[in-house]
Amino acid sequence: MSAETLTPEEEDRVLAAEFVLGLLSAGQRRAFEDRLNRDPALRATVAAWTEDFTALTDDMEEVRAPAHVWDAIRAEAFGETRGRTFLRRLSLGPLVLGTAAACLVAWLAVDRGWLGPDQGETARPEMQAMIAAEDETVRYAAAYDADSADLTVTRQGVDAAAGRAHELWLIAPGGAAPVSVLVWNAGSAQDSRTVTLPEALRGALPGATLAISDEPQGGSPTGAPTGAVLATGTVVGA
Amino acid sequence: MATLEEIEDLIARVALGDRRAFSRLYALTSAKLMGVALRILNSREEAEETVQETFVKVWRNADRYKAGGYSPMTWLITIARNAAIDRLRARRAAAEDLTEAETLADGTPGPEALAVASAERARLITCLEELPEDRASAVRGAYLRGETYAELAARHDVPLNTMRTWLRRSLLKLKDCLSR
Repeated sequence: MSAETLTPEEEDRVLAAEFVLGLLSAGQRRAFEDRLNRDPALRATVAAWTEDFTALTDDMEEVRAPAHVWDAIRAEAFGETRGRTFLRRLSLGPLVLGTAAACLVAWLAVDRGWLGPDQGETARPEMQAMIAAEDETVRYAAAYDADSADLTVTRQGVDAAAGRAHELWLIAPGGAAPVSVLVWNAGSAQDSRTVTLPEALRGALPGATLAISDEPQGGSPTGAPTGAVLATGTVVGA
Repeated sequence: MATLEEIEDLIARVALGDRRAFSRLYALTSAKLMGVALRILNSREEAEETVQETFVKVWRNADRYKAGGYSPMTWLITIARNAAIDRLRARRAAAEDLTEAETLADGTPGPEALAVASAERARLITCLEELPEDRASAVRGAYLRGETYAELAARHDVPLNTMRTWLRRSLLKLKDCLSR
């Protein structure tokens, strides 16, 4: 290393630049990332360098990406090829053609894990699912916190039809029988609900399918889905 | 032309799983990211794969955008740049030679490019110009080609430690200039 001694501030300034440029060794980078997670000032230094170096791309011409790139992105991001075949296997009752599509949201460290570091103390849900119809009319977002076993589900789309209800089912991987989790009656004001999963279901969550079916007011009278499956999603993360 | 506020708003909606917002974000920004990836990788196919990888990451991680403190285009371009550099390095590791890096254009903008550059860019370029030419070129090589200290040292024909000392000193100078 250089014979010159830098002040701690200078050292951090240089380290942050080397980090952004990708000049650190794997070991140095891991150590630096550990510090980044704890040190907002260091994150600000990294952000400032990133803004500055990004100027090197200002003169790069725009180039239109061909259509198949967007198709590939949709397929990968929304998991569009999965939902339908899966539901046929499940035989969850009559399927309204073209409504069910699984859509995945996974927690991945972005890139080198530093673009938008974790939010310190606010725990992020470990698992998530987006339960959405193809046309986005019926749409629920689910997040699961393994520490508390709380599953929070938020309605983001349309309400159930008048006199009917939306019921949420959990189907464990491997095609287990659907288990009823929550019911939204038409006209219910409460968009977001939290339920603590019973012990037996907790282990079944990773990779499970969540599905919304159309049911009579108050939910299915039989304990199994009776109406059309309106939307599905797969639990990803953990 | 989309405003940065609009792009920021789209990222916020993508974080909530809004597919329409995602599609609009792609329409507005993918050409720029494709341009960046193409410039770094010099390969259409790999640039397309980089754009795909970038947007899948954006879809999955848009909720982390706010925490980073980046302007929206910087965030998107940085994800694309990092993905492209990873590919470039993998390619170099496979080829195990530096000749390719040396034949790529340096990316130094001509006077014309400078004329249309943003104030931000002008600032960085101006500050890079205050550095000795070979140091400025090393900074560009690291950012645009993902060159390591070893590769930079080989290209400039100096010992690795010398290169590191040079460049670290140059980065400090650069920061002083950028902070003025």
